[in-house]
Amino acid sequence: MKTGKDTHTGGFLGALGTIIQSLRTGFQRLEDTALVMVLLGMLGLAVYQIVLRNFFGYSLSWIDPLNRVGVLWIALLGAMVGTRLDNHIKIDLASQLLPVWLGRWIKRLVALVAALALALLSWHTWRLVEDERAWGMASVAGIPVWQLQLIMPIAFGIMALRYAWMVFFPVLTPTALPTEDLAREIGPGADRNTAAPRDKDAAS
Amino acid sequence: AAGTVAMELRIATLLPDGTGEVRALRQASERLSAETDGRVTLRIFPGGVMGDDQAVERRIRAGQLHGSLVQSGALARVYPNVQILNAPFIFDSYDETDRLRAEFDDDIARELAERGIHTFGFIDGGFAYVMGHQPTRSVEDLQRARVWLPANDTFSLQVARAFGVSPITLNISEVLTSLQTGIVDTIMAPPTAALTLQWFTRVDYITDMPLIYTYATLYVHDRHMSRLSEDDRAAVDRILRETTEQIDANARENNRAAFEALLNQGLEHVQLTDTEIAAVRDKAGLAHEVLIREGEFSRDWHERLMSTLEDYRQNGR
Amino acid sequence: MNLTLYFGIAVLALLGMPLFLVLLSIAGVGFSLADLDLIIIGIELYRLTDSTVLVALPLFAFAGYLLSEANTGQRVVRVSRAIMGWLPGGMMLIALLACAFFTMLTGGSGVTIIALGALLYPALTSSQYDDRFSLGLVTTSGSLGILLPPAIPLILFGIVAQQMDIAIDIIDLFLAGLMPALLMILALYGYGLWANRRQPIELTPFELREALSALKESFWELLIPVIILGGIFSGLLVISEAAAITALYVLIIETLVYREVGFKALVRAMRESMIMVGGILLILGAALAFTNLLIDAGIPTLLFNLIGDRIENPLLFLLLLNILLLILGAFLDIFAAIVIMAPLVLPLAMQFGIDPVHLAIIFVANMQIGYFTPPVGMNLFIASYRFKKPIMELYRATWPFLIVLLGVVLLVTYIPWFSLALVR
Ligand code: NA
Ligand code: NA
Repeated sequence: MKTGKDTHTGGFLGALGTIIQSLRTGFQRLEDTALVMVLLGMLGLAVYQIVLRNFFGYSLSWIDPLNRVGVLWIALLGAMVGTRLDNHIKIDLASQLLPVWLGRWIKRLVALVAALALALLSWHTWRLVEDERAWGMASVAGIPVWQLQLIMPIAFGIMALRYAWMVFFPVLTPTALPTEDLAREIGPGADRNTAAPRDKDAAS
Repeated sequence: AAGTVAMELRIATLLPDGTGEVRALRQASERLSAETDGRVTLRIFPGGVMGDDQAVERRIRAGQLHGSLVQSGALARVYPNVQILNAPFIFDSYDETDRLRAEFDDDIARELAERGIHTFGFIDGGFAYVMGHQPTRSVEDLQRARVWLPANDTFSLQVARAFGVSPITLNISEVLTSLQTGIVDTIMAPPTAALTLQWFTRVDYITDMPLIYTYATLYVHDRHMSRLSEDDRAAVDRILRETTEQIDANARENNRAAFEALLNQGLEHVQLTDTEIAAVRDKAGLAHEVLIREGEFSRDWHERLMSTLEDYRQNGR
Repeated sequence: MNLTLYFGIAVLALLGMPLFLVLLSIAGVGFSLADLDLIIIGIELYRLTDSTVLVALPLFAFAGYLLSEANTGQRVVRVSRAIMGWLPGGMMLIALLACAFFTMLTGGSGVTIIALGALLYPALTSSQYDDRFSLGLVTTSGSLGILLPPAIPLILFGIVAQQMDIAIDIIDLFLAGLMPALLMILALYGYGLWANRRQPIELTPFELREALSALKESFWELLIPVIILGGIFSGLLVISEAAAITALYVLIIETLVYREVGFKALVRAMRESMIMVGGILLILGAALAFTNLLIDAGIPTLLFNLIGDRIENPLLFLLLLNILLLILGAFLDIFAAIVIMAPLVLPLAMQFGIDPVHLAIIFVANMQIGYFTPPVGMNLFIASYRFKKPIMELYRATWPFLIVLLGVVLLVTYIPWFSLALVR
């Protein structure tokens, strides 16, 4: 199976691994972009509406309902990315009180249950989408509601996969905190705020 | 195989607990229980705890709820012509609405029944009127005003557009504040709503021309009715019909009283001149065309509506 | 069997299952046992699209994160020092006011300690305040502005009430929070003066030139509350729009005027604020499903009758409420506690004649204490990261402040005037 080219990554499997890895990175970029885009879309539409109302005396009736759907999308996309970073609000006494090796096994157990629960959620929200497509005739801003609901089964499905992954590769985080941004705050560049205030007296 | 097991008919409504309608439904539950030896009761979910019309409709499909007491427009997705009496600026008096209800109620109920919705009758919601910070005496006044409309209400939106009104859409919960601060200065609402939601405290004028006739209906989906035995079904049908009739009669009185109460609160009564009434009716005709074109109700039913009304005005029947 | 399932979920919750999944699992088990279709959970989650006010949450959170990416914290501290530094206990007052003000700017999105902590803690110790006192003060102050507009927890409480058809005006909530927030600041200031009465502490003399220069430097940021409050109270903007304008305004000043937030930092602020707010919103959606289960099972009515039959004295009810909220605050995040508990407590409290606006303040004020009560206290965790101190040391440092705030919370609970004087 050796092709000669991928000597260090191990041939076909290595190439496959590389492809999967880049797909994963691509997908992560996609979900981050989607999350940011929903926010910017909401911001833009809300500002547009204010301008219309205050300067032109009318409003577009679809903007508010669409922005409210944005809230649902942010909830699910945000939680999806949050799962990737293992960054959810939780009580999590275990990791504070128990020894590390036990904590790891508990983490696996929790991830297993979470994966199963999320798979069920994905399935039942998918059923809602199908029900809405068959019977519901509602739409928001001209988009059928079932298409707007589609984010639910997708996000829950992805979260289920991520927790399933964590069963095998538990990420260890010391507490229930937004770890990534804190890590960055405390890590390199953390001295940004600690740096002496740009005091004019000190400079002179 | 319709079972004879005990069943709790689960009914949702946006009306808050303690209102006459909700009390009447609870009484109906007691009567039902007595007459079916406890096999059938009602469970009422008042105050919108089950969500808006769409959420309720989804829950009925999922079997969590069985029926609902809603504004008729909520069933428009099932059968658009339920909105026929909502056609704007057609009525002068409650006598006329009674005549048209007599003409249409049964037909609407039959059409809904064919689509799996078992209604027990219709309930007077009163006329919606134009109220505002400044008097609305003409179509032009309305076009100049900052008019509130609920978001996602396509029917009202079509009407507003036909009248050349550029509405400001806000959530119901934001109307009171927005009236106070001037984000909107004109609303269209039935007097009962203006009273219970405190909107009357932030407006000064009410135009004495009925804008839209509103009505509600009590229904249970056939899917759930059919789980009852034939006798029980008959009991449910009879008792809920009587309840709906009773609510309807009380509602009429309440709506008249609410209008009077608004005037007693110091809202100034704005009368339209005959020329202005004619101009409004003219625009209303346009609005009806738009509503027909957009599929909010059918041309057949609209023709029947207008000819019945004409007939009643000419011949008194 | 049923109890075993619920017990299992409770154990998983303590072992670190995400809160939204805990709530959804309870709802799922409950609906299954009641023979109801689990499709209901999706119906409930979609109800997140019911409320316009909710749109404000992501927008305010984004603005808050953006401010913490810029050097806003430094400027706020400089202004406070220039204006207040000459007062007795000046540096301490600076810390209190700067934190309250910054939390106010950011809507209480939890970024205050991150943005100001590393600035204020060394400033306090170098002004000869005792190390433990300084640590406790900064950790406590991180939650101070949570009652000041546009307080996200207050908005959330208003949304929950509106979903139950209880007419609460968000603006009234903002007005009601002003005096209690002021009271907290004064109480902590007073305690600080007393605690350091034997400590010789140097003051920063007032210099007009420095004051003006500091004000000039942070001019654009000092306008933020003017825009939020002015927009809302003048009636030009509804809450969600005030949030949009704030977000746009902060975006413009930090990228174009101060030029401290580059493209990367901007994207980071957007992404991270949305991860946080997404988590909160999903918990809110899950709580909707959980609440629906309770309503479906008739629990609120049951609780209503149970408590209504046994307790007649509103004061006793308030005492129980305080205890319950403090216990919840020990475990739950403030947002989670509001969305889970408010629907249950609101109808009960109203039966005891408690004004819903007053209740909102009681709720949020109690929960504010939860920010630094063990075992789960966000401020403790953040401070532990920020200052690299063990949690136990932070417990020791914060408890006197906790007692002081608890006193204020009791005052605010039993004297409705503090909350309602500006409203009713
Ligand atoms: Na904070
Ligand atoms: Na806590």
